[in-house]
Amino acid sequence: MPPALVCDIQRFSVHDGPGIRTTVFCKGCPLRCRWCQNPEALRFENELIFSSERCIACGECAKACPIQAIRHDHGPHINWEKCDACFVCTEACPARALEPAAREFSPAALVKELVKDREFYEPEGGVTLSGGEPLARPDFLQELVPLIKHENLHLAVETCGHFNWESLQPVLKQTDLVLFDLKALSEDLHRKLTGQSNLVILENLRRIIAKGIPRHLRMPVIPGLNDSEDELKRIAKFLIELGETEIVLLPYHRLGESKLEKLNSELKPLGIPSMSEKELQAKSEVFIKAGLRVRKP
Amino acid sequence: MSTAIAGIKPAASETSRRDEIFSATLENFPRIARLREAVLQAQPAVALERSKLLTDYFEKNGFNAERPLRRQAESLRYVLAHLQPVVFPEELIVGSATEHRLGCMMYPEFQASLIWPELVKLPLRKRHPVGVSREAIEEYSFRIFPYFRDKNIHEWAKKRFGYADSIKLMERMVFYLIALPNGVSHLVPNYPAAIQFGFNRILELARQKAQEVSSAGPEADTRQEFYQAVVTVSEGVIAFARNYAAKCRELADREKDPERKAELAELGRILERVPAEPAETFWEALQSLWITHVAVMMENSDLAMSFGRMDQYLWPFYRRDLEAGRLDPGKALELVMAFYVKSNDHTPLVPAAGEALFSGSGTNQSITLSGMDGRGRDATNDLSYLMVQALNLLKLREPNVDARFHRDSPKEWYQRVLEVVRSTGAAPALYNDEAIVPALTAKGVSLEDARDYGVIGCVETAVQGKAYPMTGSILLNLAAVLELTLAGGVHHLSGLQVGPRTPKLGEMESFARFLEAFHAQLQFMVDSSVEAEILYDQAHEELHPIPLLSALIEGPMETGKDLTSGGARYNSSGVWVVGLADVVDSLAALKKLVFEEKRVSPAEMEAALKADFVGYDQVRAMCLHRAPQYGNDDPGADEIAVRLVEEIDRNFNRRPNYRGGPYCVGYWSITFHTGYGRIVGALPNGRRKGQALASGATPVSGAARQGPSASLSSTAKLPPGPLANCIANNHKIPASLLQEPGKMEVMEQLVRGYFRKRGMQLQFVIADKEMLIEAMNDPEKAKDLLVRVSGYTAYFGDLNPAMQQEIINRTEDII
Repeated sequence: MPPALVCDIQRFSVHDGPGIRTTVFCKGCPLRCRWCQNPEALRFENELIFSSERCIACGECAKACPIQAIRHDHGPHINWEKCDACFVCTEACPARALEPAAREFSPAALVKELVKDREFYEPEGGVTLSGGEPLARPDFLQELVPLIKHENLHLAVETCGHFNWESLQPVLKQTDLVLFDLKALSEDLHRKLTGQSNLVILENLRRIIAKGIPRHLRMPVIPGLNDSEDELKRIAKFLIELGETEIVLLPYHRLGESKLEKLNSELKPLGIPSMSEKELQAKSEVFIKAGLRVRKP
Repeated sequence: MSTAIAGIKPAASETSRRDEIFSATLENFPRIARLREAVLQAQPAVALERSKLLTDYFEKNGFNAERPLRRQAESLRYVLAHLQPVVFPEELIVGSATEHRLGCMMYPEFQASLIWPELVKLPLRKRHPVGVSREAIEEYSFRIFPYFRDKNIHEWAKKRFGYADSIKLMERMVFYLIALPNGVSHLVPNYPAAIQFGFNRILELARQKAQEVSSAGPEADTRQEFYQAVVTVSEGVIAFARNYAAKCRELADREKDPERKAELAELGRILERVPAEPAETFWEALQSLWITHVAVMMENSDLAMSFGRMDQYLWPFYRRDLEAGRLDPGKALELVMAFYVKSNDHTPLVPAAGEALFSGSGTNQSITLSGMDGRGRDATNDLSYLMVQALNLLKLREPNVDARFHRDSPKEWYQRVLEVVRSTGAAPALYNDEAIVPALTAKGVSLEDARDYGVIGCVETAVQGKAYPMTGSILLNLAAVLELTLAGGVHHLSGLQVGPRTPKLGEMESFARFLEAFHAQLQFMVDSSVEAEILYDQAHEELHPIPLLSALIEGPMETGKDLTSGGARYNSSGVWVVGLADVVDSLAALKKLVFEEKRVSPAEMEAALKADFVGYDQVRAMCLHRAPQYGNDDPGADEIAVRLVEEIDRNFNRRPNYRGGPYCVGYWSITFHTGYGRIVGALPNGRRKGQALASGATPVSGAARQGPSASLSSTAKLPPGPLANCIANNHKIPASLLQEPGKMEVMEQLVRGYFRKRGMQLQFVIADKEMLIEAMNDPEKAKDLLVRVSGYTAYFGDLNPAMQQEIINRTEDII
């Protein structure tokens, strides 16, 4: 089985499930949400990342590149068409301004990282698999998840919902909590915002609810994109019909945009300001009126 | 007088009693609020009276060089019996450290004369002006300092032992400093004995012991003289308190307000009784403790003289009073706060040159709360909560309140303490019994005694009442030792061959070779500092025995040996090392970049450091980004740290100290990491010349990039034994994080995780950057803004600009 590509292992995560957690950001996602906060985790292949704030403009990268895909002029100018992600430049860069977006991990190597904060997890914290889309690699998870459970760690999975239900049965059975992100209910809107239909997503959501898998339903609220009163009302109605009582709202913030300039991303900055507490409150009202509890992450 | 917190009905159960305590605000205690304001607004002034009395005594009676015990005892009795009692309006705990509301204690027999050249200019200081009377200037300049010129510890030692190289090296101030010239300090006296038994009993015991000394000879003479000295100083302490009793009665007679009149009369009654007799009530116990503490400061330096586990030894008094209906929690809180305010009545005076190093430091009188008892059971009680709430309400620099934890600490203790940390933004600091107890037993302390440790000064830990641990004895600049190694033993600023000749970095071919040279320089510096320290320790025995403090530590009263002669049950010396994280990261960078990966040649690294990295951007970038750094739970750096602290501990313990005990090494730095940073050149971790070093055992600022749990995991790897003098681990938490709902729980889990990993000590800096920047620009606005500086609490406005900037940098958001 090939190793998994992991963009980041973030310790002391306090917003990805209960308690203190270690969050694994897997690389690769079937969706292309226009507001994605982790654009470096979208492609399934590894890629080059350039952090200009660390660059000391020494030109070592250009000298090192075996196929002349980098031109040096007060810092690297990367010919993304040409770059074949050999990462020779990342070894040459003294400041680690050039880096691979992800590193490879075997299940065992990953678990070694996840147990490091064991003492901090009690009583309710643990591990969160996120991404990207962590459920996009059933083969890897089928090996990884038993190892995590063997270590007796609480396991949360943060998913966009677009995954193959059948092949993930064993994994979901061992998952303590699913953080399920719902972006839009209307299929057209969903396709427009994420590049994918939400038929599979909604079907998976229904199954998760039906199976009684512990879950937090979450919705990123993106001003002007998915937060029309009509859309919010429909989502609220849909959840209530499914018997749900609660939703977690994730207000849009711009922090992810600063990552876009670091890589050759197909996404463009949205150009909208971060959501204020007041705006979020107004959106929450729609759900509260419909009879749902609204929580912060 | 009011006995309940206004508007709150006294409650019966323990939990509701605590709820009552924690719902109180300072507005419930208008008198305490006024006393607090008075001490905050007071300008410090140079104390004169004690120095004058001491000089009077010696001028009149001569300086008996043959009988130091007798001389010191009689001069102390004279001082104590003749100090004019000073009682300020509304005080509930009386006994003034100086004749001023806020005084700078002066010890001409120690280092006070360092201020001599600046004496007249003290009121003109831009930062922290200090008042000085015309009389004080004249007395100090023409009588007191000249009298003690050859009788202070430092000069006397130089004359007695010759001007040793080790003392010369100390005077360069770059590599190490010895605290003993400033007097004996940094310990927890056996105050409970004074409170519970009283000085009449101590005096009687000493008299009896003196009679029991049967054999003849010089050794027996000294013992007899010691016991006689204890009798003498006990008489002094009793007279001191009785003078206060008379003063209180006199004030009561004149007082118009009937409530205050009754209070003063009661204080008169109390001080007539204690500390001569055993205290009976909670108020008596607190008053007995304070007046004894002031008396101890008349004999010994006021630095880090600590109170120990007050919630434990005051508990019987509190419980008895409560049961007898003499006291309620509100009144007890008022008395405790009156005591806390009182402990702010003196402040250190540092020469201008030292301001850069010591800026903003108080005298660090520590109080230790909660923890386990001698049998390992939880000892938290209502007083623990009450005393941590007193800190919360007052937010004063003194006392330095410290909270102990262990695996069975109540959840409520975690929650209440962390709430107070959030509220004060700084204090208390948190201590883990599970690491500290084994650290002390590794140094020969019995398990039961180790469990009874108290915090001293900034962060140090030692057995209370049984040890003379002198926890601030040797300060070692580890970064300067690394610098010497880089240059083959030559000091870069002076160009002198200071350490042994070892190859320079450019001539090294392996990391093992470099480490060998580093260890050679380390050994030289350790040996040299220990040599100087031993000389001063001997000087104390010969020049300045301390019978009063000796009567208040277990040991001397049994053996007849003064503390300075090694009479204490436990005799250690404390070392504090500055620069740990910078040195660890530097060693890790040299190992990886220079010797393993060979990205940089030894010669190129040497040249880059000499040039302060100017023209070597690539080398510096690699140092910062391509080498393991302490604080990331990365074995590449953490293993170096572990081996380093073990090596340092081994070096110091190649011989016993002067009093036959071990050296305990700790990693805390007060503000010396900025001061020493200024004189240390560029280091292989990418740090430029002059930049502040990392504080205490904290990772280098900006190096810990994996979040707080990884950073704490790195620190928790350091083995406890080699950290027996404790560590300061400063951890920044943005205030905004804690405002989110449920995040206090996260903070609790963070602390618990660190303590499960056997992390030793932790203190938070909680403040928003904006708040601090505002305070930097307008000091008046935040006169009482407390921050935590490597082991003690300081008012932000009192710090020098470099230190303020460092605190601001430390406060960057981490998540």
